[in-house]
Amino acid sequence: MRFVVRMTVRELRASWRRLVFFFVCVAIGVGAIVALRSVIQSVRGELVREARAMIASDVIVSTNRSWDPDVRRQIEERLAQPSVLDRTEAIETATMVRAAGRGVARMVELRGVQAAFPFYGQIELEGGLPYSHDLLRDRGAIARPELLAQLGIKQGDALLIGGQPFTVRAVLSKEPGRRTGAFTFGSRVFVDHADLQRSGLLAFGSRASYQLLLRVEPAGVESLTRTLRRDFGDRFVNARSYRSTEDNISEDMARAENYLSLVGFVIVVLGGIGVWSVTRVFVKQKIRSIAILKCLGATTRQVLATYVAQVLLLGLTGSALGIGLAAIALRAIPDSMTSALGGQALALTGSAVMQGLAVGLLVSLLFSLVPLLEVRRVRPLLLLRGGDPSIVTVPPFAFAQWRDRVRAIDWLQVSAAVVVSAALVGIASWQAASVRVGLIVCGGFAGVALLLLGAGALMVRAVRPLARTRIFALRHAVLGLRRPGNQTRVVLLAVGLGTFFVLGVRALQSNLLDEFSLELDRGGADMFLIDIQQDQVERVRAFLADRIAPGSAPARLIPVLRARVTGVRGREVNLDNFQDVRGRGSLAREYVITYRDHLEANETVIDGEFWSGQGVQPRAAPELQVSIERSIHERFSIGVGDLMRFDVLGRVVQARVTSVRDVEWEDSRNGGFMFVFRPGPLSAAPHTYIGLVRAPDAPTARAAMQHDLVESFPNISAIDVRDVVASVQGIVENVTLAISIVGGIALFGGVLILIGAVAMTKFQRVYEAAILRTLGASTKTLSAMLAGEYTTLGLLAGAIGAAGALVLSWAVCRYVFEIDWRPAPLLLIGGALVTMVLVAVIGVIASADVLRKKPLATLRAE
Amino acid sequence: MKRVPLVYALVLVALMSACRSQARTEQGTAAIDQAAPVTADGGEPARPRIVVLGDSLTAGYGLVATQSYPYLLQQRIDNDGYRFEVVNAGVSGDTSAGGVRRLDWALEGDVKVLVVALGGNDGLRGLSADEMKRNIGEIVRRARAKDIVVILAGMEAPPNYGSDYAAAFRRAFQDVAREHRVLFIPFLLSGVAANADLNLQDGIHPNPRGAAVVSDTVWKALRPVLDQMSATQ
Amino acid sequence: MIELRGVTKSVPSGTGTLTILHPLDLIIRHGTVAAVTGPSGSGKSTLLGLVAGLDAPTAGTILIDGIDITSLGEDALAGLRGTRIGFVFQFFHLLPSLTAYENVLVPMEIAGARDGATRASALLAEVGLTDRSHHYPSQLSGGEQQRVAIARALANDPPLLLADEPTGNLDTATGHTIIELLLNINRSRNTTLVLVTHDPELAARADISIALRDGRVVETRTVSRKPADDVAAADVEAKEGVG
Repeated sequence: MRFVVRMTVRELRASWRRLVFFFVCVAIGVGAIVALRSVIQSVRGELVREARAMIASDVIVSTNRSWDPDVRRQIEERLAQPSVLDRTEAIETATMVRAAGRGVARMVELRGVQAAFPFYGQIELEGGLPYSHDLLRDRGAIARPELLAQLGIKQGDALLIGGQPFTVRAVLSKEPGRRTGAFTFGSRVFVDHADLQRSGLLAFGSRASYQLLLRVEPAGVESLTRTLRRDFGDRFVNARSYRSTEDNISEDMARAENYLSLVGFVIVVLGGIGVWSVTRVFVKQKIRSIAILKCLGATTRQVLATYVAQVLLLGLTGSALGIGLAAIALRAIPDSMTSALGGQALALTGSAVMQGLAVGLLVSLLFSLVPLLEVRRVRPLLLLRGGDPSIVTVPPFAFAQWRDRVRAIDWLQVSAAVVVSAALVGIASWQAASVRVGLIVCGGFAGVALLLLGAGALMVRAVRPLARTRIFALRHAVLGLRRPGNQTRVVLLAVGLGTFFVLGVRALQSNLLDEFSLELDRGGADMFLIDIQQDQVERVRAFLADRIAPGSAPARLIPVLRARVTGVRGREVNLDNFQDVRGRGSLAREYVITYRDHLEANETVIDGEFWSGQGVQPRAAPELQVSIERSIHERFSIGVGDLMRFDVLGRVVQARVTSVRDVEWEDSRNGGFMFVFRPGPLSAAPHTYIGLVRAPDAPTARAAMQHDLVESFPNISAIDVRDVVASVQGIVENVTLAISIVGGIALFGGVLILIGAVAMTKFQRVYEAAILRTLGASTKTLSAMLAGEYTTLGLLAGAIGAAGALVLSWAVCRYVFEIDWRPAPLLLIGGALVTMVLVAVIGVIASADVLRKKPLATLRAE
Repeated sequence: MKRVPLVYALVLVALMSACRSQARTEQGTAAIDQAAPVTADGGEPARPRIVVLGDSLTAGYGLVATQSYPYLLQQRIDNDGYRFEVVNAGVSGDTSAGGVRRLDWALEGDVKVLVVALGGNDGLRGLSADEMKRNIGEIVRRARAKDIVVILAGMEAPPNYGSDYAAAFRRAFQDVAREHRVLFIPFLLSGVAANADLNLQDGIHPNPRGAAVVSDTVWKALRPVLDQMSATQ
Repeated sequence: MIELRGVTKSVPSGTGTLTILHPLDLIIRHGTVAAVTGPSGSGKSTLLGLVAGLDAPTAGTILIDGIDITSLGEDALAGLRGTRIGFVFQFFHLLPSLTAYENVLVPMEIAGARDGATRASALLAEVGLTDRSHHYPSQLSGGEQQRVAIARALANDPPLLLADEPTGNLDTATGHTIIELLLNINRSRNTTLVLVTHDPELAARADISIALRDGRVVETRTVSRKPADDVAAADVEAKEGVG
């Protein structure tokens, strides 16, 4: 033991300068893992916080009938379990309110809450007033500024709710749990739960949502929601959790989580590659010493212990250094970015540190213990030949039959490899969280690795003719590639896999951000006007022109009609023809249709021709032209040329299908329509318009606009979705930013790891460079030789990695994110080229000291 | 689905940019599960028409066309040997203001009877009861001017809107009926509203059984009119 | 005493087996200086490796001081090398990350010797390198490195010293010094010395000289360097191999 310790100390002391390089390389790998995992955890935490704030609880159980006592009792029984930590009740209902003594009544959306509301998120009040449930007690109310403006009252005044006076004690600026409600016509007013129950508004026939808000142990959320839904779904009770993927924001969050898992997984692999490239060189350099020690009488166990101890120390110190680097890196992320993550400073998390350490140690161990175990078998006889120590471990079974090979398998070595690999896979799975992500990435890993090995072999064969070239540098570059035991495979594997992951993550990021950017249309409509009558269109347009938010696009007014399909291809729509639509919606239902002369940005024609630029259809046309949506085409087998009959407000209209459109529903800010008609005849039918408006941001201006609108057009209702749009956008923005940060760290870390891996290969070039140097090769020639070799490797690895990244991003978009995939050709081609240049530059620079050094020093040191 | 008003489907279209999942609802899975022939059109010589001017309650929101109460009325008319054609002029989301505007379109052809069944959306949206009264009065007046028999079906505002509003709302229909001396069904959803067994999951729209009850309600007012007309023809 | 009985070494090659060493019987008595000569690939180093237990013979037995090393396990062999055999290589093979002093110390540490420190200093003094004891191998000349290697080989005072072309990598003058050093050791410690060498001067000064060619002994020569000594110089018998 003393020998082991002493040897370890001495070796580390003597070669610390070189070891520093090793440490740094290990540290970068581990540091990238730790930093990224920490950020991911912070981001995840914030995503969960925001998701919870959107329903103000973990699980919400609601019914739109007053609680049936029997159902309620059964639900209570179900909730009497330890995972349900806390609960509160709420009621939501629409009602008309008035200012005391004044006539105008306005519709509001009342929410009666108890003291515990909200479990998550905060009710924010104007003037920085802190929210407390006491504000609501004894007929207090909290209302939106728009409402106060419309009613002409202010904080402290009375509001008549259900004919009873409530005092407006505060003005609401932001509320949690907004997602619970459907879009409503009224603005929010908070009152006390008990006051609402006593208001007389909740009588027989009242429409209200009765809600149970629950705080639940994280592990119990999904199962509770599922069982409640299953058992009470047919009794008008709905249950959902903050994780329910019922709307796009949940889907976005799920996608973001998957992305984070993926990046976490990838960085573990990349970090592993980094540590591997270091350990590999380290062990290689120690083989001769091991042989010598065996000659000097050291037992296998002593030798193994000595070098495994060194590797572990290397891994441990490197990992510690990496954790330090990660801490510094996290601190270097500007506060402006972290504010998106809930304003918390990013810090190392315990599990991130553990994971980084574990990966650092396990990968060092995997790539040191396994080759070192070979030492037991190989006798250091070759030392006697005075030969190259690196061939000490040449497998002695190169020519053996497979039976001999099997017999020759070192089972201890194999089992060590299996155990350590299993531990690594465990860590990676822990990080991946999603089995599907893990499978895709592992598949990609294996596929690209095989491809790289195959390509390496092919390339070596392909460049063979070049070995006869008269250009010295090129000839030696080629010979270098073909040299047995050279770095070709290492560089190809490390760089190729690294490029694959970095570009794959990058391509996914751009796809994901594209998807999110659709929801970040800051200038998009945030108020919807419905029921605009035909004779009001021009006046409404004029009214809105000088009232919409400055700089925003003019309001869009879209004509809408109601229609039912009554026949297709001369047949009536009936059960016989469309039996297969049972349970999937019916063609005979009421559809909202429109007419226009152009395609929207989110539409593409997939069959036939749209009438863009063909003008209006004459009123007297015997049949109209209609463009149908792809799902109608697919579900009901209706295609271009088919004649359809519609019942439009009691009249039969014939229309010929002239095109099939694909509507991108995710991007349907202009509305999505199953049936779009060519303008002309339909404009004679009575219909209304909906208005998409970007209302002014200032609450008072909004309130004034709504007020004036109702005064001038009493039949038009405005649906204000500013809060919802703003909170959705806020979240999407945060998610976007978080993904950019994570992607940035992954890119930075990945590139550093690759630099390390490439730089590591210099140790194999040193000896040869020195010999060539001795033979009179100039620095220029040597540089050109190295550059040629590394450029070839970089290009090949980059190209294969980029191709793999293309496939990876496609597979993940399709099967994990379930979003449309767009290739990122510029990114991938650029990535491959940058990889090539980077590898060449690093390869040459890393070997610079070899080129500078006197050859004898190198030869001696070796 | 709570508090999803009659205008639900319309709002869906309007809000699609803010809420994608609802766009998917529009795309796919309305709770209707059958398609069947609707009112026969063309072909045989035109019969005198009965137009039902209404909203989603009339259009049969959430139902197939053959389950809507106007269709059921047509069946009764045919079974009882009357020669009238029922035209379903129900538009989901429509208000009294919309009704005024599309009256001419709806009254085209040989219309003998007009059933006015609007106001539900005015109530759900908290629109002014006075405004609604004006609109419905206008509809009645113009139909009368064409010698069409008008049956007015009233609506109620649910209690959560407050007693003031509910009263004003109820009064609006009563006033129109009295001022114009039209046949009056005090509440179209009489016996159906707030009965869980007769409504869809949304608690607002009648289910097939509820629609049958509504057709009974309307039939009671309509039948005497048809009897009288058949007698005078 | 080293005794080889019918020792053969062959390795698998592309088509069949390649015999590196044909059956060989050899006895080298204690205190003898034996030189093994022959051209490259004649099996010299293989023979040395077999004697050191670094490689196992395909057939035959090898006895060192009566112990059959072919029957020993790896750890026992390592122990044997540590205490009974010293190595000197053509390329010195010092541990590059250890100082001269530490290189000498290593075998004693492996063997668990207690007086390692003083002995290591004494050995370095014996090879004349006291003032260089804290230098790293890369800071030493070839001759110096080889002297350190010799000191290291003597660390556990082994009865047998194996040297693989000890002068092959040195200039003539330095080589000469190393030869003298090795022979001195043989004389002063009565250490058996087996040398693989190309150096005719060295071969000439050995007690016995064994010439190999293609894995067979082609010539043995006994030099009566110490006529007074009653120890038989050599008892070599070569047999034609079976192949």
